[in-house]
Amino acid sequence: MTDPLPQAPSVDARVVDARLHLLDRQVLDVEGDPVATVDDLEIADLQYGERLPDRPAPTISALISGPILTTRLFGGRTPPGRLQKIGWDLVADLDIVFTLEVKSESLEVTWFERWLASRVIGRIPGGDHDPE
Amino acid sequence: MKAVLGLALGVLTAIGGFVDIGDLVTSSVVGSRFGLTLAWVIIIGVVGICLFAQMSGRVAAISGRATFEIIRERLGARVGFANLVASFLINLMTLTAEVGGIALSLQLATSLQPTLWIPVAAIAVWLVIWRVKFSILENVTGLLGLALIVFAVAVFLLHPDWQSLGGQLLLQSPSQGSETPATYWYFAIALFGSAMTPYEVFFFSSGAVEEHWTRKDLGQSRVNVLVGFPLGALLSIAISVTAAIVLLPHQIQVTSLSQVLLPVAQAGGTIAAIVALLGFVAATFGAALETTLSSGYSLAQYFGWSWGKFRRPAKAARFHLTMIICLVVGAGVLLTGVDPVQITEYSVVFSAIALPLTYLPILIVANDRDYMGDKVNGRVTNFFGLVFLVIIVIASVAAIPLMIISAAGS
Amino acid sequence: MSTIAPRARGRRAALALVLTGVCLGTAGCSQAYSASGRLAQAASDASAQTQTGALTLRLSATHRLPSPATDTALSDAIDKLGQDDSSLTSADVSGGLETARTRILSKVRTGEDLLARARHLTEAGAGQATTDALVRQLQVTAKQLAALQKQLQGSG
Repeated sequence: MTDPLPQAPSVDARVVDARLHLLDRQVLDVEGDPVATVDDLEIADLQYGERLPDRPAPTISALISGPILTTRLFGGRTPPGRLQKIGWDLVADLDIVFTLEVKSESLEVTWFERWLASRVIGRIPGGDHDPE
Repeated sequence: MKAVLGLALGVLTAIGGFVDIGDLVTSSVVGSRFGLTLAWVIIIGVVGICLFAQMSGRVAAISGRATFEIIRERLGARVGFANLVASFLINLMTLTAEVGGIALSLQLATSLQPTLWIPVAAIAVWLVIWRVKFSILENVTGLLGLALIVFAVAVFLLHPDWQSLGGQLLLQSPSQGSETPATYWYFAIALFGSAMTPYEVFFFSSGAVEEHWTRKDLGQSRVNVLVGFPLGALLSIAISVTAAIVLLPHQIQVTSLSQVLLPVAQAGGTIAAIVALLGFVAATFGAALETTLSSGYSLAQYFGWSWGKFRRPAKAARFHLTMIICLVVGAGVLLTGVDPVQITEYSVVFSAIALPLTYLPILIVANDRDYMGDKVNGRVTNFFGLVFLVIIVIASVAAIPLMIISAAGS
Repeated sequence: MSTIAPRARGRRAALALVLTGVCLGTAGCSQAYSASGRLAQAASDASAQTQTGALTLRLSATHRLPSPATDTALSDAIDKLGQDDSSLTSADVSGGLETARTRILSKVRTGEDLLARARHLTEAGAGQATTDALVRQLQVTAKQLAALQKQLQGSG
């Protein structure tokens, strides 16, 4: 039986293990404010049993956060419509955290935070002031 | 000059901030039942918390990652979540105990029912978190907590028989009066848990991020911890000693906060009692702030929410909502009439049970070059780190069986 | 589209949650176990509370304890004695222990009466002699309770 894995690329790049180095990492926005934690990753489709050399390697298309976490904890599936994604094209940098090139307000994953801020927390006196 | 002042302030705050309701109650209970035969546990506990706090502070300063982010990154979503549930519930229990402690202290100062003080205390804690800057909140409660030095003064005013006290320190006889070995070891674990409460670590590492620590601040933090905490532990021992001198001979086993105060009053009269009461209020209030913040920190860090007191509340909405809910729950539990002293006694034991959950991930990450660069643990730190890992795991595993055998120390 | 994170099998996660709950619940379930053990426990606690009352009264009479603290300490002791009272009253004891229960209970009630008087005295103010007498009575009751506890432990 031949080794199905191709030779590791000898380019000047970093090898990261998706489960170890990408999952459960913090995502920060362009200003360094926390956005979410990477609860899952979306990868471009790859049929089961399909051999890698026959087609280009799968790529990560988005970071997923939010309700999908409960399926990791308790099992089950999230309906595709309820996935909260951050497109991979928005990722600016990957270190021990992800850094995005946009502000967190522009992302769907932060809607609950924004809703709470404008409807509840921001309405309590002092909620919109810096601490003194 | 300014640097010296800053250093002194940090150390003083660490001393005053060390004691909370858990230390007040547990030290006094142990002193009144076992004399000084358990003081060695406080010493081991303080070495442990120094090691642990210093390590988590260093991780936070170098990598910018606070405790629960690390726990999830290292343990994964599921084990991390189980860890979060356990840590969060125990922290909530401690928070309830601290708010109850504020109410009991204010009752001692005014003789008004604690039920009246519970809502006042909870709202005051929330207001301070809502409006006051992190550094001010930490420094003021820490400095006022120094009033507890009156316990150390009281030890001298009571003119104890030093030789017999020293004898108790060395003579490790678990058979004090009618106490059984199971009770002795149960309280050993309680005392260990009160010295090494996990919330102190959430708070310490998140505080490092709040105050934007960097590599430069590591020296200061090391001095704060290595000087401040041991001196704070001396206060804890002093509380134990006063109980051992005054209460033990009368066989008064401490079951309420008012009994903790009596030895100080006997030693130094009204003034000393008032100073001690100020210390009670400052210590419990400071710890209530820390546990409330810790509840927000742990949840926000696990889920990746925006958090921190350096942001305006609307910029960390879920973080602030968590803290509000926790305070409401804590106050609600207290208003059912449960005894805060009993909650405290259980919370310190459960803290000991939960310690490995936070300790191990920190120890692992402190050795990870991806996070720490060249500031990974040295050999000496790792040696002590492993020794304490063993101690912590033993205490954690032994706690529940001992609790059942000794009927929770009764 | 597919995702890479491992999914829970459900049961194990639920089990972990249940275990956490059980751990926290154990706290509520631990009790002193034998009937004589429970009586001894109540006697020893009542003795401690009565001694606390004596100490508090002494400190208050010598102006060493602020009056709100005195009041709180005495009412704490009274509350705790009340708890001992009701746990003794409701204790399910058989034959031989019945006498012990009655004797302990009567001393606990004496202690409650004395502490109520002490509280009244500290509020109204009283002479040195009255206070001293009350302190002595409290101490005697405490010693009797402690003796009863020793007897129970010796026999049981």
